[in-house]
Formats: sequence, C-alpha cells, structure tokens
Amino acid sequence: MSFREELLFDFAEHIPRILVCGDTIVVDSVKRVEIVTDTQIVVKSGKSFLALSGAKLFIKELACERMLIEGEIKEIQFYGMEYKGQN
Amino acid sequence: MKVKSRKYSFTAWNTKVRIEGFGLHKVISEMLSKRIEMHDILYVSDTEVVLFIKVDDFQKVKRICGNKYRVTVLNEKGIAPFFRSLRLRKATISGLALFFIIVYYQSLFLDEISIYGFEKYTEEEIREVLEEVSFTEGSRKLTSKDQLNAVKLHLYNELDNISWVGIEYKGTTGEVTIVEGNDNEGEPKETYPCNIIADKSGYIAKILPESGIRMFEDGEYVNVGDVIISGVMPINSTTFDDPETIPKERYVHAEGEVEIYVPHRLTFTIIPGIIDSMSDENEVSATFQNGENEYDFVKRVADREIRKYLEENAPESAKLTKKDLNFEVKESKIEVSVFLETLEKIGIKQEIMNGSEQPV
Repeated sequence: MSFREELLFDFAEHIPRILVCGDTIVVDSVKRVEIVTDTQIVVKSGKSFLALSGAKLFIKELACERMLIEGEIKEIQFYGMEYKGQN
Repeated sequence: MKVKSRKYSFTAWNTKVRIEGFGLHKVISEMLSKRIEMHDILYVSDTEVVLFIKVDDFQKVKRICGNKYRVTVLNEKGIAPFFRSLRLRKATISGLALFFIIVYYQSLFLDEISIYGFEKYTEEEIREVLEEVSFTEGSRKLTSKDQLNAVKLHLYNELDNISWVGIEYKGTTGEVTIVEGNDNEGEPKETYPCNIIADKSGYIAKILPESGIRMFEDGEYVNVGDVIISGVMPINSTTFDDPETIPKERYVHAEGEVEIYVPHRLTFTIIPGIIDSMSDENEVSATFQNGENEYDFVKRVADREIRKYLEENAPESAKLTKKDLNFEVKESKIEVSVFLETLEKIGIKQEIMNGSEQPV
C-alpha cells in the first residue's frame, strides 16, 4: 500500500467502507439511507452508493455515519465510484 | 471512528418509537445527518418502521418528522422507567421488603451448633453444658464479647481439663471448638537437686539439657561417672549486698537427653570347613556356602557374631553407626577383628551432696 492509499484508507470520509464478519456487517461513512428491506439495503456515502443483498437483513444500529447490520449477506455492490483517470 | 453504543449501558434510557409515513428512508437519513443514534431498526412495511432512540433525542425526531409522519411511543426501557414503574407496584415493593426483613431477622438466630475438638467428652455432654447458658439451636446469636466470654467461662468451669475454647459464627451456624489439655495425673515430678552422670564411656553425640548446664561439648570423650549435665547453677548477683552473704550457686533437678557414640572391639577366630557350631568363646566354626568367596564368607560370619555381641552388650535402643572389619588368614584359621560404634542414650541421675555427704 502506498502512503496515499494508507491515508485514504484511514481518513476518507466519503468513500464507503465495509467490514463483513460472518452475519455481522459494519458499514462506515453512511450519509444517507436509500432503500431498506429485509433483502436489500442501499446507502449513499458521499458520491457513491453501496448496495447489500442478502436475506433477513436487519439494521441493528445506525449512528454517527456507521451502520451495523445483521443478516445473511450474499452480494455487495458499489456504484458511482470514481477511479483515477476515469469519469 | 469508534462509536460508543449506549443501548446496553446500565444508565441508558431508550424509547421504542414507531414512525409511519411515506419515504421513511428520508427520515432515517435526516436523523442520521442530525447524529441521532438509532438501534434495532425494523422495517415493518414500506410505510412503517420501528426503532429505538434515546429519550433525549425524541424531541428532535418529532421535529424532523413534523406533520408528514406519525410518531408513536411504544415503550421505554432503562433504569429510570424501571424505578418509575416500581412506584406503581406498591404491593410488590411491600412484599419484597417484608421478605428481606424476615430473612434478616432469621439470620439473627442460631440454626445449628457444631462442636469440634472433643475427645474425652461426648458431644451430648458439651451440648448439655451449653444449654445451661442458653446457647442452643434456635437461640439468639450472642453478639457482644462479654456474652461470648460468659459462655466460654461456663465451659471452663463445668468441664475439667479444657485448655481452650473458641466460638465462631459462620452464617447461622455456631462453631464451638474445644481443646482438651493433657492428663497430668500420675507420678509427681522429681524435684530434688541432682546431676546427670554418664553410666557408659564414649564420645558425646548430642546433649539436650532441659534444665541444668551441659558440661561437655559434642565430640568430647566421657568416662563412666563424669557429670554430663550439672544441676549446680552459678548465681550472678546484681544487688549491692555484702558479697559474703550472697549465695554463689543454686541447685536444680538436672534433666535432659544425652546420646554418645560407644566404641566396641570384637575379635574372634573362624575355623572354616567344619559344620557351623561354636567351639569356644573366641573361636567360631563355619563352612563356605556355594559360590562364596573368602571375603563374603568372613563378612557373613562376622555379621552373625556382631548381632550376638550387640544383643549381649548393647541396649535394644542402640543404633549401629559404624562397622569396620579386618581379617587375616593364619595357619588355616581366619583371625577377625571388628570395630563397632553404636549410638546409645545414657545418663543416670545422681543426687547432689554437700561436703558432709548430705543432700543440699
């Protein structure tokens, strides 16, 4: 990891960050909740979106831009991410 | 960024609310941007969500929802609502208080008495003595030191030969421990002034005087009749009286333990080849056993002779500490010389006499 990447990893507030551990999912940098159902959760982090698909999804906690989700996760998708050199 | 969850904290006061309306995700997002903590968010349907929020944030949530959404408080959880609900349960509180009062009152009485340490006396006898001072199962616990001492004193007075009494409470059980003293009946102790003298010669192994002064150091040789523990104790007077009138010594009944190493020398001749029998005091006959060499043969015969010698010449309590064997073959006979050392207890009491052969 380069130094820039490390800084971004630690301090980026507008990049979605997700940690999956078994049936528990932690999503950071949540700015807005778009869709919440028991099979799909879509949230917005800055300019990008994060979509989680699965079963029995349940938001355990939502505070200070951190969302704690419990449930069976099947798919994680990121939308609208901007890569270097691309629009 | 680490978020400290207050949902499960002891002092947390959360309220369960239901928000009804269209576009609930906008409300949730708004609440998120206003840094309102939400827990256990359950989307019942597209138009209904149930979640937990802090009581302090309820007003904020109401302002966010405004007139477009309906907010209903379903429940409150936390230590403060719990105490508030207790105020309404007067009978429960009274019942609990009565229960604790009864339990506490019961703990003021003795449930059981256990007695330890008795040997000569039976448990029944001791319990009877305790009953006389109202120390029984069901009686009130004695809290003051005077009351406990009175019970102990009664035990000392009623039971003979008690060295120590201890009373301890472990919950509602009273533990009484007694220690019985040694039986002092028997021969009265000797008190006349005496010395302890040696009744055998040998090297001092150990002197342990209980009273009196030891006269020899370890390793020194004593002869028969030597005073080992003296009953004559010098007096170092510190008064200012006339020195001529002050006695210079006093007399005690010397007591103690003395052990010495007693050397023995045993010589005899072995006549080999003849059947095992003794011809005279210093000659022993014996035959070789199968596979035995000369040394083993001499050693075997010598061990037998040593056992016989010690039976005749040493007390039963003597311990053999050293054994040295030498032998020489001369004209078909084997001359054997054995040096032995035994550890024996010695010492006899001799009354101290003055110049005119009278006891002091």
